[in-house]
Amino acid sequence: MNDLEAAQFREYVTARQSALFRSALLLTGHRQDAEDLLQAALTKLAQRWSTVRQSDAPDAYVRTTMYHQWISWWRRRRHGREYALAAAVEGPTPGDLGTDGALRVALAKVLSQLTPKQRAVIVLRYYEDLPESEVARILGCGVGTVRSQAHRTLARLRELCPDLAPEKEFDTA
Amino acid sequence: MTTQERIKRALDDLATAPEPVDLADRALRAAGRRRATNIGGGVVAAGLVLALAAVGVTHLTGHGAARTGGGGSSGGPCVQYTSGSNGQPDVPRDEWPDFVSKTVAALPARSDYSMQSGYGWCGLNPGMTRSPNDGLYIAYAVVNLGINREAGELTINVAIDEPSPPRVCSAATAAEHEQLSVLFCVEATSTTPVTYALGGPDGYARATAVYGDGTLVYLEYYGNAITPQQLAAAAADPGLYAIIPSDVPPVTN
Repeated sequence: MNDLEAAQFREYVTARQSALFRSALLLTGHRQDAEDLLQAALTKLAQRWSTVRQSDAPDAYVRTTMYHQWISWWRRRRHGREYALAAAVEGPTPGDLGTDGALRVALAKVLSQLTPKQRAVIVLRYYEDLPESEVARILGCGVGTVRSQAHRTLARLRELCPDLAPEKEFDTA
Repeated sequence: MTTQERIKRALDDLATAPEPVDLADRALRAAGRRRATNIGGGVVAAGLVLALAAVGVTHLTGHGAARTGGGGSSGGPCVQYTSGSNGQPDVPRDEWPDFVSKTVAALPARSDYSMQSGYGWCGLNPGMTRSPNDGLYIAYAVVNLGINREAGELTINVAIDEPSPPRVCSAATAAEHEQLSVLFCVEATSTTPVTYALGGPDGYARATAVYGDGTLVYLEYYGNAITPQQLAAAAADPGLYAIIPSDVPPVTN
């Protein structure tokens, strides 16, 4: 990588690291894991920067790398560490909070119980607002799998947070 | 606000945490290091089998270790270690858990080992259930070589109670996959574990030691400062095995 490409890489990371870190944090539920995951994905991006930059899709590359890497790590480590997000569950119960607070607590609890792939579906679909077809492409599964995983997770969410509206409100793009 | 918007907002709230710094430069340095590692990879691979005989077997044979356990047969309490506390860029060396100190002591001597984060000895988290096919992972640590991983990054993983620990190399290595190749394997003796190393792209190596009682230690390393043989010797270190508890209670809030 020459100096110009390195400068472009730094510029890209500076502009996007906040959003990417937030996605990594939601995916892992653990700050240190999120940092490690994003660092690994950015290192791979740096190695392929010349090619990926020309495709004009570095976000897609980092996102795909992060999700695959996390699922791979999780399979090897097999020990769910949910301290960062689960900490929110240790406080008030959903019923003690306002509706948004209750939803946040319920979400943290539900996320901590998901497999990494299920969790990835929720983050990609509802946090990054990607259509089901794109989520399926990133995760290497069928649209039907994405839909069923999302459906099950939302059903669990409604058990914990009954005021959520019925699923018909959701787009299924 | 629609339900979808409410969920997105709740997710956004959950994703609030201080951002890491210097990500771009760290990635650039690591990418440069891995390129250098790949160039030298072929030469290293050619000498692995002979080096195993010289280093791995010598180290493993005759080093039976009594299991004393981390504070007795039951480990605990569960402790988390994070960098950044007290303004420190890493976990101070005098606060490292024993399993990190033992592992690092069994690796090549360097002054730049830097513990980034980890936990030990921790049982299942509240609300979690354990797969009947897996061991219980009770300790984990990320150790950088250089504060910015200038010489690589190491992870330490310790599990107990593996349901069906493999007792021979053919069984141990058959379960591995993920585009990794088996570099070497040393059969177990009455006092030593099955020990093997795998190699992957980008200077990645993983060494695993599996004991007959279901204890498993595996070390992962990216970089070119530690050889797979050295990694395997550390994974099978009798001093490390001796402090691993045989039981760890669940984490309580």
